[in-house]
Amino acid sequence: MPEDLAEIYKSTYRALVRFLYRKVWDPERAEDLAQEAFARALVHQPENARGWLFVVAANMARDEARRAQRERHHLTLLKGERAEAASPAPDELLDAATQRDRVKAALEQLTPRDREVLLLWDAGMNYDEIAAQTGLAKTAVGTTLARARRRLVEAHEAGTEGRDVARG
Amino acid sequence: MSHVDEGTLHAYLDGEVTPVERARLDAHLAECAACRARLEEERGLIERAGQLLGLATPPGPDRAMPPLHQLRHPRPWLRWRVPLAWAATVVLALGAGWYARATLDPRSAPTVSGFGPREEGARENTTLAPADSGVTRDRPTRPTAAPTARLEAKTAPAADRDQLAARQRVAEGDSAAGSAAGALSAPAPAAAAAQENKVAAAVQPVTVADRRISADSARRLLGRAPATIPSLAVVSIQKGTDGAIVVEQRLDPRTTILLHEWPVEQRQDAPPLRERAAAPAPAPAVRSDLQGRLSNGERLARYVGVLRIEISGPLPADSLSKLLEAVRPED
Repeated sequence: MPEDLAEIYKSTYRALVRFLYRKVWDPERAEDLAQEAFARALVHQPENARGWLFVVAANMARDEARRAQRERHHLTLLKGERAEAASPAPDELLDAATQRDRVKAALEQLTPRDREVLLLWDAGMNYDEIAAQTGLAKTAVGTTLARARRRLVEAHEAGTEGRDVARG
Repeated sequence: MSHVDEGTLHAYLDGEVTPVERARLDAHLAECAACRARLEEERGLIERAGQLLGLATPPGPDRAMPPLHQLRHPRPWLRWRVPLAWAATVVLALGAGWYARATLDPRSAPTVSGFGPREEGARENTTLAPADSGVTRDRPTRPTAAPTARLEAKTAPAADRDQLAARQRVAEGDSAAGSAAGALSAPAPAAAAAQENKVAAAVQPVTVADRRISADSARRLLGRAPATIPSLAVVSIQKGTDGAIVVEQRLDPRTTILLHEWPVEQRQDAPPLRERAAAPAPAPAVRSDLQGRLSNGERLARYVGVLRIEISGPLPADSLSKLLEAVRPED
């Protein structure tokens, strides 16, 4: 029986925003995409809304990353300089921002599949849902999570120990 | 007795083992100090990983959640402005390419098999009504002074046009479009206008009339409105023999392309997070047949929202690929 979308909205919205944030690393974009996903769900009325929302969100984030990458590529070619710019954080937020960056760097050390499984678990999906979304067998989800968690913690420790750590 | 592997320990700690399995593990753990120790290690690891993930959350206070019913109308045009500009680039380049080729040798002007000369007035199509699509498709049905390609260029603001031109120069790979873009200056629109007047022929729809379905039927069959390329008119919607919903869109007065659409869950063999790799044609001049099969038998495909979209048309794979990238969901 399909859950009422309003209920899912209340219970899943924040998790969807967090899930998207860990892909786009921009809080406003994460909110925009989460709202877009729910807007589509309103029209589409999918049978399994929670799973559907995360699939749609993952696709949107991936399309967006590609577009952003193409634009950065073009900007680089047009301007002849690197288009990346880190906006400086106000002093009082520096610690939180640094911590966030370190976790982000550690997450990037994971393989895409391991990272996806970890993020879906953290977003509140169970093994069945994760298996359905990623195509893994349910029995493989635990193994993948174990590996992903270990890799995350190790990469984070390696990152915080020294600034000039050789990338693995 | 064999010890518990790492994956099972995590499943156990995540509460994801069956009751039978849980009982078996409890029995083993009661008797095995080594596994108990490992269990605690893994419990610590899970906790630590959770902590770290907790640090990777959006900064600042949580923004207010808008009421759900308000989300039905998200901000539309800002987000689609960039993809529309790309679509315009594609249409511009392809349109100019076709016109330029036709101008060079009118007798060898490419036609698509199955199309024939026919009075313009006989053509009436199941164009999606604006109420359905939310995007106006008021492209004139009779050739006007402004050819299709220029119409698209005009919709992009002047500032963007320089950007478009710059983007065309650095566009990845499509040599056909690239040389067409190079020809994009005074000669092309003039030639285009001349060519437009010569083209009295209308384009006959590609597929058979009795497989046509309405937009509502398509919406019902797909579970949502079909995805389309926003800047191109919809000529027809059909039900394909392979179970797809096929949306035919007009690229220029003599060319249409087909979008073959399925809901994701109907394609069991295609995992949701991975895309099928596009197989580029061996030479730019090689065209796919009307069914869109490339030399290796595959079509170019992409996931748009929860739909799987495959594209076919009388164009090189590079151009089809660019058009595929411009496909957007209807809502």
